[in-house]
Amino acid sequence: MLISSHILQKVLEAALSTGADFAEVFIEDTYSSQLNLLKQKLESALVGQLYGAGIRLFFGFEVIYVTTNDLSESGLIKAARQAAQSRGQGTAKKSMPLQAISFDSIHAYGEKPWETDRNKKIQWLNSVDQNARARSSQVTQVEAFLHEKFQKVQIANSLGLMACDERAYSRVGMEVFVENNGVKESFSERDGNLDTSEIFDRINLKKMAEDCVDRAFLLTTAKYAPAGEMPVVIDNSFGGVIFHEACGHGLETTSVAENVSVFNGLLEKKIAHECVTAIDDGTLANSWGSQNIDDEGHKTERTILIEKGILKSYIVDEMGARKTNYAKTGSGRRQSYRYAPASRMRNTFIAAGTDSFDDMIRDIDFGLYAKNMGGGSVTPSTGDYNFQVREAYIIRNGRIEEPVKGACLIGRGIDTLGKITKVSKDLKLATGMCGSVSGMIPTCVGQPQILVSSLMVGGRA
Amino acid sequence: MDQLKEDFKKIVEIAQQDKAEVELLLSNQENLILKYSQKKLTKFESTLSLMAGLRVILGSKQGYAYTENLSAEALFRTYKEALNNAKSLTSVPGESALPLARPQSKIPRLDLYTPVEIPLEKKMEIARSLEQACLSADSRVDSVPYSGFSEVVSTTRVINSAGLDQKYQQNYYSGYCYPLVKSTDSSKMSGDSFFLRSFKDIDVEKLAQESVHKAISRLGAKKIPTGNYAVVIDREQFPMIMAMFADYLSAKKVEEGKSLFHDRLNKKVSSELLSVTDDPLDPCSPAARPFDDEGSPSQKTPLIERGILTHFLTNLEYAKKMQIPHTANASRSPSSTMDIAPSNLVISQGEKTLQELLTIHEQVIYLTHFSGGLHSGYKESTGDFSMPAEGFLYEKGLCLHPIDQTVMSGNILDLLLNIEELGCEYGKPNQSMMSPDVLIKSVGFAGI
Repeated sequence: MLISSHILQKVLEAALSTGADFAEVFIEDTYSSQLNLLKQKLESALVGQLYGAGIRLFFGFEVIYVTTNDLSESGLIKAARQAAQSRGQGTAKKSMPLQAISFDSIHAYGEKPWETDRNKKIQWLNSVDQNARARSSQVTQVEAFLHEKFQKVQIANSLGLMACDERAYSRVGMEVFVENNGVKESFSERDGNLDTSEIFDRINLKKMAEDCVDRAFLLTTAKYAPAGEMPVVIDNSFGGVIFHEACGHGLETTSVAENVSVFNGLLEKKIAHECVTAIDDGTLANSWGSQNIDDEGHKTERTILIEKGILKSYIVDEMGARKTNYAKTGSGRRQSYRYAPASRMRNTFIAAGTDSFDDMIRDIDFGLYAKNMGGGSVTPSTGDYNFQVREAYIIRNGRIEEPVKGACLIGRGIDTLGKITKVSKDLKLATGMCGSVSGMIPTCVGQPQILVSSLMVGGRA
Repeated sequence: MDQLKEDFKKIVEIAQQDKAEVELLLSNQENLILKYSQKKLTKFESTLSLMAGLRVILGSKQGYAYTENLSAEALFRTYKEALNNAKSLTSVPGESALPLARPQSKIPRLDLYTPVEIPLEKKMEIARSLEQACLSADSRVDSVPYSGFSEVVSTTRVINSAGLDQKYQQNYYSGYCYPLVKSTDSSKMSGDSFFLRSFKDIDVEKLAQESVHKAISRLGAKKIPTGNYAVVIDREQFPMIMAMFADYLSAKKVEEGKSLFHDRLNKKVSSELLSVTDDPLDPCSPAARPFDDEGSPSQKTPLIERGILTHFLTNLEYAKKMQIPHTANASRSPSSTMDIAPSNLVISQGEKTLQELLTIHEQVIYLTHFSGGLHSGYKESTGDFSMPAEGFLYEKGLCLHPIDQTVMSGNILDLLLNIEELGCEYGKPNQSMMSPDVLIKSVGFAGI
């Protein structure tokens, strides 16, 4: 526990002193470490501490949010009064007595980042460089990083909730640069977990590094992707970014409650092909997008968003629930105390289907097999989305043929959902960072291979 | 008493025993954010962030650490962490000691801080009226999903063991509105924003009118056939293109082998129409600053002159390492490591009006919106891009129709060589990059 419940009770009383009908305190103490390797040596090392509190008040649908770095009793009460006085002039309300919620963490972790031998971490990074260069003498540069975060949070609110959690995050990434007959290319990979860095003893960093080399080389021989509308088979794993962008953001009450999502009012309606079932699950053990409790103190859960094409649930946070009357889904998330929480995705994926990947390919005369995806973005109010394809192949006469590069996919979410006509059995998840109103947060995306019957491919004209 | 300075002096004494140099970057920012939706205040955020970042130099090695706790004890602990980080790096034989900025007598004077007591109610009125002005501008405005107003007051201070101690303050106001407009068969969202250093210059009506006009003009958009087109990239969108090559100008990226300009110094990198300068001294720019993030006085630096690459951007370390001129472009926050970045990139104006640019070719795309960021369509290591975009199709200088979701694809090096004309007007200084409208001879677009 970072702050005693006795003090937090006083802070909440101060926050409610001018008529707010809900108050919440979020306390954070986060240790971060970043190691970067470049040019075959440790290039930089950075550690730091975030230490502060965010105090949030609701006056009906109005949200007041203030932050402070002063976590003394007087500092917190001062911030709470500032928040209260910034808007309210009403009668003080009472906060319920705080009761700690208990849970058994399903995200076990090992040594904390500052306890693990740094030389071991440097060895992991060196091994990435060595394995990449061992794969080919035409590797010109290797960059690798290890990011670790150990976040302690404590959340208390005027409804009597109090919860504490400790979250360990570790992520490794690499980019390999190659030159082949004068053509330069690069390829990058990332992997991470809600866990401490011993995870990298289990992750096959050698294979990751070698895959990067192989894919970068493949791109040096690839021609540019064609442009135009065509059937697209999107691979599993990070291919799930299409659902994240095309649909996921539009299901967050951050958009829905403001009536600016194209999925607004479609609960229990058909919004996708019946082969599509989609889930947002915050409970997967040690998964990158999981949490025991969300950043509003509620236990996370597994939420079925779409079942056989029918919209079953939105992604709902505290304010979203207040505005829409939908049940909270444990999805209030934020980058740090500097951000007020908002409804956000966790581990979001299309569930395994029954189709065969080979059948998907076999039925296509000319199309694109998008094997590896990059970043993307969406406008929830129109559903227009786009994302980068990092590795792709032409499908011709039912066969996967030559590699192509420089493609991106664009579409309108609700149209695309209706065009997912096949879903394979082979579900895989991948890690990413998602940016939105409450900052950058870790999320997983995922899916089995899917067939989109027609999609706009941005390639060379 | 300046407690921070006193504490820093004690850290310097310890650093001397460790044979280390030390630099402290302090950032202190107060931010007020106001947002209304459906006439109700939905967001009132008042945040204060205070952070110190320490850089410890041990010969040719440097380590970093940061903290939000500015007590003497926490600062000392942070120093030790930065020192340990420096020690953990690998020494390269022959590399010389890293330099620190020395105290300067000539720091440019910039008028960035003009505090005026504005009653809270007036600020709330601005935030409220952003939504209202959009809703009343046109009956096709369905809602205003995104609008907001913010006020920022910040202080940046650099202190180091070479005796340098300098700071600057700035304040500014920014706002935006993005109305969603609907017709019977189409819905579009677009908008505009402002960045101003004076509250009295805020013109909500003008911003709302421009935002609504931008959104409505996109209604009824149609796909275009896939092909190559001449394109005029709007002055407020060309900064996206500038962001693609901005990193190539960094001496650090050159030294790391990641800049496509690495072998182009004093050689042609673009059409001779293009001249680019880094100008941190324009007080209207959000990126204006009197000194960089290691304390060196800011200066204007010509980078590309009539198509020829004339300078790379440097900080003290890379100017020394590469034996090239120092341009004072050190860039970092307290919680990041040292980098090099432009402050305010400016493309020199040409002579044509926008309408003249749109009539040079029989058919031209007027690109007014990139739909995604660089992360969703640009690969820095090769310069290849596939950028989702929207705009208008023009023929003989007349607008035929707005263009629905298309993708502009090509390579940044080719695009720079294909610049055919530049406009004579700048947009609003909302970004840390300024450009006129730019006509490109031929670029590929994906469509039907």
